[in-house]
Amino acid sequence: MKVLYTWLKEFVDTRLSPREIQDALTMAGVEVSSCRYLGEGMEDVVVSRILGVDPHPNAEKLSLCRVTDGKGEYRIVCGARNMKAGDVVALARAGARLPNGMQIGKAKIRGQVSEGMLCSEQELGLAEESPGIMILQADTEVGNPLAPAIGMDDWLLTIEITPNRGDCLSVLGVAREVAAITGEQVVLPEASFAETGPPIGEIASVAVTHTDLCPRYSARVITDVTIVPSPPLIQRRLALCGVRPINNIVDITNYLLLELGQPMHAFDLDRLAGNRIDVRTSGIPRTFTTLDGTAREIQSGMLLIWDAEGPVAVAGVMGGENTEVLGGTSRILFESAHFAPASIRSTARRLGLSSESSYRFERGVDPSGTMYATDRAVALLSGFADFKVASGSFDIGGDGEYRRAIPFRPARATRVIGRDYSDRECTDVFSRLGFPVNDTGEGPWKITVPAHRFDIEREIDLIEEIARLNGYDTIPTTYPESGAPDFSRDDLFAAEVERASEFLRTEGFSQAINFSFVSGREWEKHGSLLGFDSSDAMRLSNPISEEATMMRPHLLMGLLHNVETSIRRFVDDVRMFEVGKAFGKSFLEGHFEEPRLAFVLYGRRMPGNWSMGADPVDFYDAKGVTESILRLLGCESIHFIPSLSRPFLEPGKSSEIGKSGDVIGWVGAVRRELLSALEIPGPAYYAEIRIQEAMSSLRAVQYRAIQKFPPVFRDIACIFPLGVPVGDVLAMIRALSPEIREVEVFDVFTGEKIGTGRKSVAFRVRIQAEDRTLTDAEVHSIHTKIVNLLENRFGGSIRTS
Amino acid sequence: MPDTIERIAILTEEGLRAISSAKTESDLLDAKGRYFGKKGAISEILKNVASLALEDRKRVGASANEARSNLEASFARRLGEIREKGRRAREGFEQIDVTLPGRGPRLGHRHPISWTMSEIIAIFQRLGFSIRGGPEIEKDYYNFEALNIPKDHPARDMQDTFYLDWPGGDLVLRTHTSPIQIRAMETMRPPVRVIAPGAVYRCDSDITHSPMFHQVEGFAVDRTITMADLKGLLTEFCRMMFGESNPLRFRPSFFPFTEPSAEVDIRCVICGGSGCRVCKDSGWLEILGCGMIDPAVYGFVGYDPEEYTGFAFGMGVERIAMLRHGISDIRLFFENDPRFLSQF
Repeated sequence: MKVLYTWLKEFVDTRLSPREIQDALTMAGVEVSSCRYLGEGMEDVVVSRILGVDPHPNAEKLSLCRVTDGKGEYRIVCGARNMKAGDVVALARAGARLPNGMQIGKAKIRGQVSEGMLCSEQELGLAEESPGIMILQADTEVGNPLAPAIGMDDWLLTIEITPNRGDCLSVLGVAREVAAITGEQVVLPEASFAETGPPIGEIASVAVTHTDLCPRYSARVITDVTIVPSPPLIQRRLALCGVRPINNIVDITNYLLLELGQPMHAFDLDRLAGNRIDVRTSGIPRTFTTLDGTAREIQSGMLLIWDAEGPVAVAGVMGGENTEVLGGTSRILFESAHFAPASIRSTARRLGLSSESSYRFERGVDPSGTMYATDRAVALLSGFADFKVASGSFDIGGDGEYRRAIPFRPARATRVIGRDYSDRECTDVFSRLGFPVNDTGEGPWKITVPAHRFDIEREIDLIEEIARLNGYDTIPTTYPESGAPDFSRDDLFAAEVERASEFLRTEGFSQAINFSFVSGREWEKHGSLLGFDSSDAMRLSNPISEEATMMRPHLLMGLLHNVETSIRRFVDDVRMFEVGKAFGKSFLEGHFEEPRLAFVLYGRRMPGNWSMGADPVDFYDAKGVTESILRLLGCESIHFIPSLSRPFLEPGKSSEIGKSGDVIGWVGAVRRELLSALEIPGPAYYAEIRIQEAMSSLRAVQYRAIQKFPPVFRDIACIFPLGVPVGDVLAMIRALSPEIREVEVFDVFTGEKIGTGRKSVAFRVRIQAEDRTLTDAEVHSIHTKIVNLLENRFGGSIRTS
Repeated sequence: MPDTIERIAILTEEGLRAISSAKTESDLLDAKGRYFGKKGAISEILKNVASLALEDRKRVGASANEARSNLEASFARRLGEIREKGRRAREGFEQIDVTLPGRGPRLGHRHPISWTMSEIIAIFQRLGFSIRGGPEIEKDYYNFEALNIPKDHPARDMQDTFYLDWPGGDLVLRTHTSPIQIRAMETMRPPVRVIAPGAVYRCDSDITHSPMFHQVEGFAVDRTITMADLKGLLTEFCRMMFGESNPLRFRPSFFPFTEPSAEVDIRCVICGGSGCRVCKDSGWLEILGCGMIDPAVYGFVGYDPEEYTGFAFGMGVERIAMLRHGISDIRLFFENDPRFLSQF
């Protein structure tokens, strides 16, 4: 909201400068985001009069003006055409600097000396564009600086009002806030005038059907008024505060809205059917055209203003086109009402129509001020227009009690804030706020809160006033007493994820953070390839763009796009990981949301390694990293199962990761169709781990006696049919005997030498007993068992070298 | 006496020459014997020092000792050279290029958001807070209602909310981490001290707003917690995060779920307070919002507001990371461009 310093001073004659007001309000919770001097850059511009205009001897389009600032006479070359002798103009003499930074010098223009410049509104920063130079009112005194002469010797404060402080959405409200800070007095201007017209009851009637939604409705009628533009002061103030001047009647309602925060509406009384007003909700849906010419779909329950025939305004939001004040209007009914905030907000939101009026009503407009606002409007208007005021007024609900009494305990303020507040400090704040205090004895005080402070309903609200108006800087800094620290499963989770991330970084992976929403369109384009029907995804009803319409069911697409980006940036080896959530609909709980850790591997196995070749990454690189992460997460006894159920991974080169019946993740080559859709030329490998399912409650490792007896190693090479899963072979070898401590694969190859459809696998077995040195016979027996297993169970044939 | 000093100098020079020209260990031992071995010329001089006049004794002694240690050092150096040369002759020698890059994976990069977030969390963990998480798809109740933001209240305008297409329409993407306050208090009894980090969503996108961003929320509830405690804790946090000497201020503000509420500004880290584009000429940067938990909130979780008081605070991780690293466009965080990530 914008407030002019001079306007503010009409309500509180504060000793504070504009800058001091900016600081004081900001530190009291009413943030002033800027404070701008409007005459900035006009210091060197003086009000002057044109003595004569002559044609420039050498240029058809230029004129030669003789100008006086009251003391000297200047010759000015001017390109504008809108001036004549006798005009009062804005003169920038040589040496002046204008708001737009332009430096004025003495110059020779087409052979004629020019001793300055006659300024346009645009050059003075007063308008976006201007057709010619600025012509001031003829009675403006010559010789004075420009800014005060045109009312620009003023400051414009821009104030950010929080939603709780609807009372500050006016000059009066800000003045009250200044007074609460400084202890100065707020002065309400007189609002008196003579009632010279007929009794109001004879020419109009007002009823309120729904008093719960409209607790107060005040109105006055004026007659015989002529619709003309407002005087310059009104127009200037409105314009500077962001409201377009229209005519004297509309302007006065807007002026009062800015000044008192009371939205008002002016009806053309002669266009009100039956000259009557009723305030009631719409029974049935209907279409209604508002002032801005838009047809609005009114729903039942929305509060409207009616005349004898139909709606004439959406209450508190916007008036109707049918009763708008036009050039020929002569009788006006001024409405100044109080509407229930929630009703206005709901209507405005459903209509998608927010106005200066609805904005204020939503936040609370002072119900005790409606009558004063109409009177002030009429009184102000009488200063610059001729009309008759109907005698009497309507004021439905005018006898209501809108103040509240709230109990307050100074000791409670001390308890919450942690600083001692004396009774004196408390009463002082309440008195500056204009809150009467009763019962300052032993029990709780009783504070009477005026109607305009909608935000103050409870003791804690009063405590806040005490704290902020005594200054937060007077609150000491102490430290909370520490209770027992409470270590949660989420702490453990965070620590484990941090460890896994750290590991990945040391393995050369960089961390990515992608949006949790993905493009539903992209998802559908790939059909079933992404492995999660898009109808099973959680979708947004108001996505911010086409690219972000559904919550990602897994993390693949984000990372894959990151690979794509990297390749475009000439980075051909990509290792990235992400920790984030996956979402979707779920049969049991409606929807799921679970944390995942995913990574992608692309390019060479050892990028930047100058001696070890440029081998590309393969499945086993991804699997190795996956196994390490799972070990870090404390995940034991996992198994890898060839997978066909993740269609985004290449069949035959992908695996699900199982752990006691659960699938805790998957790893494999990214499906070729997806890679080519993103123009990723080589193979990429991807793994995704369901973190919570993989994490085990870490039990302390149980120590076993160190093995003292020497191990025996046996190397066994065996040729298998190609389809034999080596993982199964390893597991079964280990299960053969407790003395088999370790089995390692140290060579795998295929080739013509051993025949197609076959592979050779070499194992190294460590055999060791806990309690004795094994004899040759015992070792031999174990070796034989292994050989039998390989031959009989897996159809292998032992290679002898 | 000058004669003796001069002689020492001559002997030293001869000795050094003999050492450096020695080709074998025995040449070297020979030189030692002649000049500074037990019976060497310099040792002889030292032996006779006792017979000199007191004042000469000092000067000659010092000079001879210095000469001897010079020669010994030179001897040791030359001995090493001769032996190394012998070793190379016997066993051969190869100089590898120690300037070639080392092997092994290059370190990956931290994402600046998770980096900043971890640091924030670590500070509060040290101050006795424990982590709690919560869902990102949240019920309207937790995101708004229980935080004292009823339907048809202007406070809902403070955040542009994403709604999920869901029967009943009461699921949103959480607009802040504050729902975790409610969820945690529902299951815990005071004393409570929780830090709640996570992704949040608002329907807004420009160079300082991202539809997804991150917050860290913290709150504490107990019998004696005051706003002064909140001030103390956050002052400590800002010192650890932004430096010991950077001033900060608490400014009254409004949040529906705290009262009194405050915003914390730190002295602009870009201009130091003189005014710049980043702080919009105010000299201050808004860094976090906080306040005493509103009694209305306790009503939703069954805490007695007369018995317990507490505070809550929340901050945007992106904003802090942008200030720390001098990043001016928030969108960079989510593009995962290698040219960006590789700087961290």
